[in-house]
Amino acid sequence: MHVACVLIEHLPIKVERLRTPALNSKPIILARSHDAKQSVMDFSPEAGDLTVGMPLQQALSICKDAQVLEPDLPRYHQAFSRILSALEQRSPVVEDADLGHAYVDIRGLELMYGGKAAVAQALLSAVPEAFEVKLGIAMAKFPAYVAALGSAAGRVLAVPEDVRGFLAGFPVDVLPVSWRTKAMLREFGLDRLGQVASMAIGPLQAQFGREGQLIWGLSRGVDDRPVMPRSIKQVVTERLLFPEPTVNVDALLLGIETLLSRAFSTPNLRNRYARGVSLHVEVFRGAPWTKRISFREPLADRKRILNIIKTSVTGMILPGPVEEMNVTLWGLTGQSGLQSSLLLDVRRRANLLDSLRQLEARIGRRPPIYQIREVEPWSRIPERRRALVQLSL
Amino acid sequence: MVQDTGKTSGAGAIKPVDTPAAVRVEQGRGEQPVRIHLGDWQQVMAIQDQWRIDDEWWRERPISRMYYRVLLEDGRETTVFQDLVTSGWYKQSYG
Repeated sequence: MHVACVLIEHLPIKVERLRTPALNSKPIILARSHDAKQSVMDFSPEAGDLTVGMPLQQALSICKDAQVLEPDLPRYHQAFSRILSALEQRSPVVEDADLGHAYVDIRGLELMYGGKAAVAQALLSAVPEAFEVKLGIAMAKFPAYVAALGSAAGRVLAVPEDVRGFLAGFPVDVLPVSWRTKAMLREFGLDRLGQVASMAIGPLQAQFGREGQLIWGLSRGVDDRPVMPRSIKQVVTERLLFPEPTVNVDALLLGIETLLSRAFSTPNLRNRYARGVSLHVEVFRGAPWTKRISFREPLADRKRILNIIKTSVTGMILPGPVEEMNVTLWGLTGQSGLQSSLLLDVRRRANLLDSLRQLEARIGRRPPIYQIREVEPWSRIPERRRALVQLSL
Repeated sequence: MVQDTGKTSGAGAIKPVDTPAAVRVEQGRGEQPVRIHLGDWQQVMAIQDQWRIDDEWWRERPISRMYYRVLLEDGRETTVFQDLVTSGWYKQSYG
């Protein structure tokens, strides 16, 4: 067995219930807003036959007594990140597939833990009991995922040697493909993976293209996708709990100054620079608030960072009384000094590349910056002579 | 055999430069341009240069163009060409 799937269904709901135990006995709906429309992001099983994405009004007509909450995504990701860190103490290769859904490469762990059962127990023990984790173990990711779906809370299900036979009875809804493809499969009368597996690959490819090949392979238990370990971005976070909820921006700034002092006194930030800072604020009886600030250049000066934050929050109206605040310094670099080149061209290029790295840190993806490069300068056809090539870092 | 990476092939990271832009042209005797529409109609005051290129004859869409370097009534100089395969007119900087 190579892969374990760790599945925590309705993780956001479970996090909310841990935060507010009074919600344990109530049906809950997490509703998010998009384009002035509210839809279901997650729901507790007691809320009834709901689906993710269902309009909130429709959901409330099904479950009138449901407690509707605004989602606190940073908190859910933080809770899941702690679980992933605990899993990484058991195996070095842990993939963060989705919120509440992870894969663990367990090759070689049997020798360390003394058997498959001990490995499974080690993985189950990494997740707090309140999350009711389900574990599936197989030779590949998809069968492991399906096994986790079929498992019970706090239990493990290992896929037998006859993988195709094991998968046959599961509905096509478990396939990691678009909802449109799943709807089309059902229109063709293919409701179970066994029916899909019995087809030849040709018709599926003709109808669904690349997805058809994937569907055919997965329904037969063939999944070559490797477990990709998550990249860990090193950050430094400090947390402050206010004695009483406050609406005073000056008190907030004082808290930020305290947190920055604490952060810069930690060994993790010694001789290191940060490319940005995030403020996360828990609001009393309200949705949390987060602000992310990117610096124009990496900074290690606490006062400069505080001034940048002050400029950003001064004049801001708080969304409500603040109970708790986190300050996170991210984009940590090892530079402690800059050595410029004597050559002007080299200096210009170094400055340009540094600006691009800052831009990438700010927007979260490779910036669409291009440079003109000569391709066939001798060509009589003008559009063949030069091309725009994306600038590489 | 090289395994399929599963990635979509494409040249999205490379974009052409100086691509021809379609333009409206009135032709006179001898097929030469007399008026060109660049936001508004501009009279061609003089044809400063004219040349033809024929290339890539082996492709499905060979390149055969008659270029004109023209002086417009507002004093601007511009380069247009007629695609001799499709008879369409285009504006393109040359050189």
